[in-house]
Amino acid sequence: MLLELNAVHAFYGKVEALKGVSLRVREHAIVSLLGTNGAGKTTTVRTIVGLHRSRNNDIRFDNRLIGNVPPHQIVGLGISMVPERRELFPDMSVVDNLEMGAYSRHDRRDVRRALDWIYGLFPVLAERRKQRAGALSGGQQQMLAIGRSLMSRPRLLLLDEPTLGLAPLLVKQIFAIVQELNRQGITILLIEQNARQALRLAEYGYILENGRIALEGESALLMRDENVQRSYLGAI
Amino acid sequence: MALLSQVVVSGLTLGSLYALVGLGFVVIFRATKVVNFAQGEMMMLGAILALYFYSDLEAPYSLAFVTAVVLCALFGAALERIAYRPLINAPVVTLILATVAVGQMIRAAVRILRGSEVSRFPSILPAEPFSIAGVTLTPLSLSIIALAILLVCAFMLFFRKTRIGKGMEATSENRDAATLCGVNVNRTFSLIWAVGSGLAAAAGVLLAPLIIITPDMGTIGIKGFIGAILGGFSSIPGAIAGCFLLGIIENLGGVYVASSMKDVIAFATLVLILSLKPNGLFGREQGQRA
Amino acid sequence: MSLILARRTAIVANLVLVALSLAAAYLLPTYPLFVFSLAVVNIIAVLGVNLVMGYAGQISLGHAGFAAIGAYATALLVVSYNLSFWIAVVLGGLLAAAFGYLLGVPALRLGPLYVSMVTFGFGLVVVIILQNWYDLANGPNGMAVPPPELFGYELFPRQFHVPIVLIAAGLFLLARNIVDSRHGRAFTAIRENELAARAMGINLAHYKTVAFAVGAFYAGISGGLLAGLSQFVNPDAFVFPVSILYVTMGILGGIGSLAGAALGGLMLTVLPELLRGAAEYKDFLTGLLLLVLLIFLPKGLVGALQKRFGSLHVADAHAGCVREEAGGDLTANPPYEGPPTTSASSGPLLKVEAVGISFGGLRALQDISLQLGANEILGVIGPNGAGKTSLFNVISGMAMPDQGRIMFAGQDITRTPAHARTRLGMARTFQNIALFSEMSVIDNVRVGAHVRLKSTLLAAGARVSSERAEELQSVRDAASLLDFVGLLPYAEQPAHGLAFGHQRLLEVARALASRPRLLLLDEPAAGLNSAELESLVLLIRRIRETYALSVLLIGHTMRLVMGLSDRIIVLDHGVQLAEGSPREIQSDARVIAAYLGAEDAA
Repeated sequence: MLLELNAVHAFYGKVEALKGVSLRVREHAIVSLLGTNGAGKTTTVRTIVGLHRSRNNDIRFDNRLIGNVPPHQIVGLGISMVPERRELFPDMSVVDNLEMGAYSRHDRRDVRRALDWIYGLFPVLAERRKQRAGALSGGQQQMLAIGRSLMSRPRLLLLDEPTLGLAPLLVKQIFAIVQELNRQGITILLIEQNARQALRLAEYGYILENGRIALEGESALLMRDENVQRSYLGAI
Repeated sequence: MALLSQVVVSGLTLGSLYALVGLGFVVIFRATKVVNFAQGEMMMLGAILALYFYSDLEAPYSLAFVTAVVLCALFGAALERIAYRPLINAPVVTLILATVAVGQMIRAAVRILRGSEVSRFPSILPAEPFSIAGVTLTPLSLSIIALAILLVCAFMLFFRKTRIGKGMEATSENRDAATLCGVNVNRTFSLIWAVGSGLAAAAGVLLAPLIIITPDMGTIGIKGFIGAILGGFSSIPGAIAGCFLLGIIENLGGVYVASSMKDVIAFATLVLILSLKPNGLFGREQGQRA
Repeated sequence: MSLILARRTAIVANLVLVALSLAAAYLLPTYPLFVFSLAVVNIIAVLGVNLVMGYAGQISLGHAGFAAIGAYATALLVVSYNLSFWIAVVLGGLLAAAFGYLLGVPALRLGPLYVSMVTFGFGLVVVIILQNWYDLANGPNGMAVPPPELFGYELFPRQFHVPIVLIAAGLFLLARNIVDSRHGRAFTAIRENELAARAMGINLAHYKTVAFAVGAFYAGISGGLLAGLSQFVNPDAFVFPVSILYVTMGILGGIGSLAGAALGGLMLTVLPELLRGAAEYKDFLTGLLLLVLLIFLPKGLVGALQKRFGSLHVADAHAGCVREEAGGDLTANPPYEGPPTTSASSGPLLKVEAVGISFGGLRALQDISLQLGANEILGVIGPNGAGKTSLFNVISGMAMPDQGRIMFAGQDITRTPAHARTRLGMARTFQNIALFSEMSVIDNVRVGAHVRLKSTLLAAGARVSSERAEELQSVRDAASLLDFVGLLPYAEQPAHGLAFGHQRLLEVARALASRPRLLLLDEPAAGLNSAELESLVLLIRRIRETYALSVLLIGHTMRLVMGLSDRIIVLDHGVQLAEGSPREIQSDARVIAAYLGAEDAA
């Protein structure tokens, strides 16, 4: 197991947003975390990277407890996150955004190689490398966000709704890239609302409901499960 | 015409100093949303320290300059750690008031230590004016403009090209994303306050030979802020341009209206521009999230 | 101790304080009396600062400028026009108020950054102008002011203290009356949460300018009295450190508390006098004190006392007293009567016609049309990013569409600002709970009724009986609403102390207080557990029956939306996907695809 969460709780003031969430991500796998809005998906990944302090600190990465690691040191451990709304640096150029992703790396040649890798994956970013990030289209921004997160050469990539607000064609592209990244060896925890697309990609899925894991299982089984539909759309 | 160009030149001189101070304001504000009301006092402190090293201790000018700036930068970082970081989650109003309090303390402390005596910075350059293309300049004003522009450019290079500078910019634009990239935001805040204070101190040292040095000279600092707002806070180049512009407008007003009314003219200009363009002359609509 | 007894004790204590202050005129030696008079004069200015900063939540870094205007106006009217001192002081105060109002205008659109700059600049500019305007009053040299007279008798040296104390007491009472009225609640609401205040029908522009005007009025009176007290005006008395001193006094005592203003004003006038020899230290120590207060004691001394001894909020005590006066069982009130049924328009209550809006290059809504009739519950659902919040904001007035229009009860409200829509009969709750946390539960509900109360600021200040009657009724109405949602036992607790589920209920009660015809509920069930969810469903059904209103509901919690809605509209990517009954929607293939993903790889 590359990533393990054991009964993690999280609070926003007095509201319990995560009520004992446990999940496991095998190395080199794609695992999907699903659920409707407000279920706690984003809270879960923010807790993993330390942007949100969890009460129970049992979060393990490569068998090492990371619940107390300060958030700015998480990327150095090999975990990278693409936040829900991309969270780019809008006034900085594309290449500057990418280089920020490699902030924790000090070897210039390494950074250059990483840049080449990203430009290879996303040629459009190479074309627009000097442009202001805020001026890019939604799909391009998403690619930039993903590219930035890859610059640190993470072992584990957390993707929070990478297809939010994108046209169907771009959605396909993004999912294809996710698959390619996984092929290259990166472990992926994919958060999505769009359950079917995500389950097609992932080998295992967790469905969050109101801060708890309501369902989990291998993708093929989940896809056929009626309970999934009920979880999303309510009892018929 | 000669008078006009004269006014413009002295306006540029003042404006270049405003730009240094204003730059410090903007750097601090963009990252922390705090109006640093102690920025002017930091400028005064720079002048006083430089005076002390150069005049009382008879150190060489460049050493006095650098020492004053570095000390003020360290002081700024210390202030961040002691006075402002405890308030990091307080409403912005509280932080603004804290800077007001700190500014008052600095001003009063200097008055206690030095008394209200006025001092003159000894001249470091020959004072005879010379002419270029019909415009009269003194070596002093020319070197001030040159040095100020040099410092601004040096800062911009640092900010735009170095890894740490980009980390500061990233922190200003998006704190969480910067953290995810590995930036230690707390340390960056210290650095930002240090840089902002250092810029103000540099402006103070450069200003010192031009005016009388008193504990109250810090009020000039607020002009840097006005100039930055005038030009548009969201963009650093805009803020700098605004400062130069303010220097010129103020001087024009000072000559053609009344010299004592310079401050009033500065504020009046600000109110006028803000009512027409709330984001400043070169500013952009806030809220362009990526 | 019952609340009425507590209040009567407070009244007696206040009277004793005033009597003692008056007696001081004959008991204290000359110099201490002068300091005491000065303290009282400062307290008046601090009351003004408190109103602007503590109650309305704005920042005022140039308050001494208003005092300067009052002082100079008074001096000039007395010296040049031979006006009675007392009339001159009032006119000075009014002039300062006018400037305060004008200064409030930029505060409307601009955040703390600009307001701090503008008020700071104002304070600076006033002093500069006075220092340079030799023709007006000798510039920096200042001008002498003859001692004030009353009925032909000169009031110096001792007797001036008496009118100063009486005026201060009167202004204190005025401030208390304002704070304890619907206007005071409006100020506090603005300070606590501007967005929610707008949604409750509070006109922010109006109240912010009024706050500045009243705060400036107080400072102006203070300045005028100072002119009489020192028999001299000069610009140095109103420089920037003086403005900061006022602010520090307010924060020391406790911003947001009138008693705090008195405490802070007294302490910071008297203490520096004790350190007479160290005049240079005064500025340093004031700055240090302010900084220390901001870090360790942001709510000031009164705040610290309240923490130890429990809330002494004037308003809360009053609400409680009114309850006791109202005589016991408020639940026995007659059930609420529904809003007047509009016979005028027989059409739908709400009509959204082809509405579109963009946010940052993204088309958040495109060509959305819907209708809502009387007594209907309409649910709006859709996956994340579908545009539900945008639709909500467009309907409630927080955003203006660039396409289409919105009709409410037959009226075109597309460009009507949010606070005006509340007046027309719309009320809303917030997804992320936007309560006024420092106010009591019952006062939160009373703010909700803001649009139904009519008393003017003057009526409130003078505490006329019609205003008192209206306040009493507002307490009864609010209590009745709290009882309806089951929160009556918590009426006098501060809102932030409520459990999360109860906070959601409070939001509903607050929204109902304006007697809306349309209730907009924004994710009302987010974060609730099963039991709370069930209660909420039942409550909303009861609301629809009892109050005969319509409900527009956005939600992700399907049990709520499906269980309550008569009809449901589904949005996806900013367009309307489907419309129908809950059952139809649940089995609609397009809807399922939107939420769960298409069956096949498109």
